[in-house]
Amino acid sequence: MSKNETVYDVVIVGTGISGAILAKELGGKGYSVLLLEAGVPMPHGREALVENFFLDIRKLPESPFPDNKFAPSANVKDLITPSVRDPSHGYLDQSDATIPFGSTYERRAGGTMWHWMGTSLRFLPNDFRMKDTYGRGTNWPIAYKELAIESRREDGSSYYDLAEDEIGVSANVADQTIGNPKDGEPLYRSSRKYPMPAIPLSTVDQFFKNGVRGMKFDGLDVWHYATPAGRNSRPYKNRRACAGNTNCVPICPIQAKYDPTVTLHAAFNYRGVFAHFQSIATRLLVREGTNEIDSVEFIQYGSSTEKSLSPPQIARGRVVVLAANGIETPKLLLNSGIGNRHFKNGNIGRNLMDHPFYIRWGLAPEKVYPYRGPLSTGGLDGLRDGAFRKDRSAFRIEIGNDGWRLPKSDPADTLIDLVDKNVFGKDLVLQLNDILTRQVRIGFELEQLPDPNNRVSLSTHKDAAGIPRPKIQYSVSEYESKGFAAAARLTNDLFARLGIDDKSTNRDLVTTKEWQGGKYDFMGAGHIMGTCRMGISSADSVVDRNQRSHDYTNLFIVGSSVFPTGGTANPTLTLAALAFWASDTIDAKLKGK
Amino acid sequence: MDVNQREEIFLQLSASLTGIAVSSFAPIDRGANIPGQIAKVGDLEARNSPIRLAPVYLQLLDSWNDGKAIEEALARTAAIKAPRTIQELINEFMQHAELGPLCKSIIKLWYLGVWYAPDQHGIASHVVSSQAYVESLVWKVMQAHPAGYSMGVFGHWSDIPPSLDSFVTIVK
Amino acid sequence: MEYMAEKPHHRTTINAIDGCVMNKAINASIALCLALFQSEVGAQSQDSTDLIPLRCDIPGDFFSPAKGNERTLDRLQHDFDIYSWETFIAINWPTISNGEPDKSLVIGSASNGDNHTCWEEWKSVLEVFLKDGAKPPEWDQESSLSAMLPIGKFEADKIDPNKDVLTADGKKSAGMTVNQAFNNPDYRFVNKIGKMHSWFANEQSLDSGPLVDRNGRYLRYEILINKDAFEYVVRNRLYSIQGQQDYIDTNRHFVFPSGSFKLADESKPFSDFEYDASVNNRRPVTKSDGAIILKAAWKELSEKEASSGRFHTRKTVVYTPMDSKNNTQEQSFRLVSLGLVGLHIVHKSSDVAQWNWSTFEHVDNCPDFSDRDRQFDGAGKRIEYSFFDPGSFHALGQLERERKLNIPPERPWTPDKIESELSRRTQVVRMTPKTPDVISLNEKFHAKFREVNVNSVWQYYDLVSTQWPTRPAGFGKPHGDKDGDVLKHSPADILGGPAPVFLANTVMETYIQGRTPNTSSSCMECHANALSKSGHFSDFTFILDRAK
Repeated sequence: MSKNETVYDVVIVGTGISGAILAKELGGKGYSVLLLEAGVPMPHGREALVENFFLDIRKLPESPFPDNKFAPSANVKDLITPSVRDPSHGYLDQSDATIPFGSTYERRAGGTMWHWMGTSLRFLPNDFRMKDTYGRGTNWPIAYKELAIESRREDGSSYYDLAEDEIGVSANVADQTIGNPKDGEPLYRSSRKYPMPAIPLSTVDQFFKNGVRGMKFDGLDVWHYATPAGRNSRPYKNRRACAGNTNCVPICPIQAKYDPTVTLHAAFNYRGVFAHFQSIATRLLVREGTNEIDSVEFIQYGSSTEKSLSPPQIARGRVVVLAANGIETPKLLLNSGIGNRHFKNGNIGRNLMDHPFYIRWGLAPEKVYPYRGPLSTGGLDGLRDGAFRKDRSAFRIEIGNDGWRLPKSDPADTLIDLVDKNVFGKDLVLQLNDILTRQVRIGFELEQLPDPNNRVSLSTHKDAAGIPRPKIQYSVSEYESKGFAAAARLTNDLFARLGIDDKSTNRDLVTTKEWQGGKYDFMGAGHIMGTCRMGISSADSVVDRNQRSHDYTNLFIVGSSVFPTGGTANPTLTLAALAFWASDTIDAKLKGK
Repeated sequence: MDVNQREEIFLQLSASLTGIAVSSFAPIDRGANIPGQIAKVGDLEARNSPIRLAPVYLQLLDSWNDGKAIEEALARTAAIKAPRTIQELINEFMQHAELGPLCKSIIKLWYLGVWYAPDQHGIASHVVSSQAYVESLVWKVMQAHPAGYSMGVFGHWSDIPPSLDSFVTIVK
Repeated sequence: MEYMAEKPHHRTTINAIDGCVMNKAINASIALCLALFQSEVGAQSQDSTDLIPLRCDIPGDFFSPAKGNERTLDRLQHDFDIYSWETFIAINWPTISNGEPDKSLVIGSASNGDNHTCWEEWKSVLEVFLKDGAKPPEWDQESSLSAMLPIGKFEADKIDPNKDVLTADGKKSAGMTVNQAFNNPDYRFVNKIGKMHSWFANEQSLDSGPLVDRNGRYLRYEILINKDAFEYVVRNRLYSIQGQQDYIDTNRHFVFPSGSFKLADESKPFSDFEYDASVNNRRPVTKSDGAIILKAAWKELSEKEASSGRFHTRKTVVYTPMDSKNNTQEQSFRLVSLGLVGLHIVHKSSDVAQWNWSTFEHVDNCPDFSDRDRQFDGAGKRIEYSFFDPGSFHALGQLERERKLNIPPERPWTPDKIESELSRRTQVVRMTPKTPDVISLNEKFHAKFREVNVNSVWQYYDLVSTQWPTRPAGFGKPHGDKDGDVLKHSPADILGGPAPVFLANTVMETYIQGRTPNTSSSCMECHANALSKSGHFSDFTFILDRAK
């Protein structure tokens, strides 16, 4: 039997954490699984990637990961050039974006989580019912307790529990329920313990934690929280504990931080799990006369330096899962040309969301010793929910342990500033020590409401493989703008209270929002959400609560593209939990309903 | 000036420019008392001895502008006599059209492991090597470690770091 | 030597530039070091390797007869390499029992050139870190199979003591049950359970894969500790998580015991050592061994290999746990001949608080990268390696063959099976060649073994190198203050400047032989990340993570 005639139980497009969890779960149940990955396979070690990072002056999120001509992706290099809006430039076609979309991703085995920070927050109960509680956005077709509390395995594990165990999250439940009323909705199963205890707070965190004690903002407590992290605080599943390399983004040199290659490796231990790498899914093909996907069409390339594309090939699956990401998944659906006929109301690609990331920085009055420990170990997370969400974006505040690396490319910029002022010798050492040990930086991750005008569509411009590139329309609304204003006001209060000398300046980013006299430059958080959202009907959504397409009975879409709203937590943990949910649904379907 | 003398003068100049004593460039040189050996030990090398980079950095400096500027800087450093101090000499260099930018490039090499050609007005050319990056000094003077190369133990970030002088010895 | 003449000039100029004198503390510590060096000098400083007889005493500490200006990086490396060889010889000495050497014998003197070694009587970590944090049996007591179950991390794999042990090919019964084999002193089963999955991954940053030899067999590993390390663990109850926490609450840091030499006058902090009169007063007498941790790599030998007389060999039972993931449907026990192909020796001592990292390999393991295209030796005979096949390598196209080097087989892995496909057998090459000095040292020691017995198997083992800290914690302090507490003495420089910067054993760090900081193989860089199960820095050893 030739490859084309093989019918796999499941064909999965994408090998990020969602695809990896599905492959491992379904492979473990004995199903045959084929993964299609547009990018390169997993490396046999991370020496080359870490070497790339060391040798790149810019130290960007994509620094370790070589460009791939046939599987290009959104990257920071494209954003920091003046030609960001030139559609013939870069990968994303941002020519029509009101504000260019600032988030990037990787197309390679393991996906973008190669350079995730490790933050593993759960969403909050109200994040799932924004419409009901605050009259904003939309509701999810699922409730918090279905992910967090309800038992899904013999040992009582919930989907969030399974995701935390797979990733290996270090946190203490007690730290995560600060300020939560005793009679409030439970956030954890009563017996729940994270797989590892919390990672110790950095000296920078301790400075903020002490400083915000008793602080209120608009009547709400500004609690300091230790951040749950997908980084080992103990050796876990044959990976070392965190050594504080301060390099979660772009690459943990010792893999103390989880990345999806962990799950992929586990999946490949099952005899039924296969993968085609360097295999770009081009279209979904519908089985004639049915509402089922017959197969995935893909093309392969041998090496990204030579023009060596294969003719189209076919991967057949009883179930097809799209696990690309919030941009690549809708791109594939739209390129399949089946969107208009079956996917109702053109919902595919709409409601693109991110967490606009607004940063501020300054000099602490005392030495706080940044540039040590994981990139972030804590945050001011008491402001993720409240009645204010009727009016403006909620946010979480990440505390950086990386000084001014983000806003200024430090420590290099400060060194160069001083040297160019003819400072040398002992003065140079002492001035550098004084400045660099006092640098602090906070970052606000704002909730962005779904807006159908923020969308992914197909550009007329094509990539090297002849596939239309994604075209982005994007902006931020008044709701988020008010969030920026609140963030700026809070920063002023906070810095005054802690004696921080505000050094924030406008950085002339292309991603800037001007609103009511304020100018807020922000960055993408790398949290690409929406575009194939879940909902009750096909009128306003693409998949149902089980992440199954409304229109095709054997098509599943997983990942943060199914999020109806984005909350303030990074999407990773929630989308991983949803992948476990999808695997259960697919298992039930394959068993014969 | 033979190769070894040249490297020694270069290290003296580098120490005065960076503010970091030569003993911090080559702790092993002092600890094991092996004068002038590091640069010619063949295949052997030890971590945390940035002195190993001296020949590499000299090569870069030699390649700029026919090596005239570095030659002049080294010659004048070698010729210095009391009561003139090296600080006075460097102040002079800093005002000089070619030697000023050259000295700044030397500082950036040691502090960042990155080559900025002296006439390129702060535009970085390249990271010299991964070894140069992890041995670079800026991280030590902030009592931290290069991003991606922490040799501290688990949880060290929750304590105040050891004192500055346990990371580097500062010139007087 | 020529550089000596340069010395005064060098120091004067440097001092002038640094501002008269170096930092006082450093200066003082150098003075101490120098005093110490001078006090240690016991003999002429020329290399006298060939004059030292084979000895069964483990050197308690590093010793260099070089003094003052002779103590260059090259020279110290050379002396560390001798120290590694002397340790290798001592621990591979024939044993009476309990790991003690039989002083009436000499290493390799038996007619077959092989001998049961001291270290094979040490404790496997599987015997030390037991279920529920139970106390392990005393050093000289046998472990019981039931106390060790479940073995290691394979908690789900319930071992059936009445199961048959199979022959090496797995095809028929070897005529004994697991329990019988366990209790048969000839097989000394306890130290010999090959537990595939749990170690190679522990040592590397990626769960990157096993090594498959040219016969299609998976390499096996074991980790053992000596009596000083064992007693430190047991005395302080570090075999249990609670015991570890209790210890830290009182003592702050884990500090394994350091080996040391006897002082001529124990009351004086800088007294000279007491020297061994039997070796011309050129080697100090060991006072205590200090903690030693070993990792050994073993390959299953074919009949031809077993009879070649080139391997230190052990007949033993290997265990492969059940693993539903890769179709290993049931646990298996096979009676096989194993050959030693790699040995890490990690030794803590007073002057080397960051431990001394020696690594040895069997000479047949693999070629250097530069020799990968050589198929025939000088006599036109086909060269054979255990982990490299010149023929099948050469048969591949130029581009393809380079991609095959040092690449693990794809998953799934089936450690109880023979990998029949040639492409799944690892093609290993050494990326960093041994230094000329190590090569010549190896030849000298091989010659010594041949002097004892031309058939000695030990002539087929090479030192690869020794990694050591150039600025060891607490160095230069009086002997009594050298407590081996790295965190206390060197908080800003935990590693102490390892030399060489990278070091890999081709059968243990096969896949990370590059030169990228923090990811390519460096014993100390990796082991500095080691934690106890209680979450504390565990003094460069991963074994405390095994506590229950």
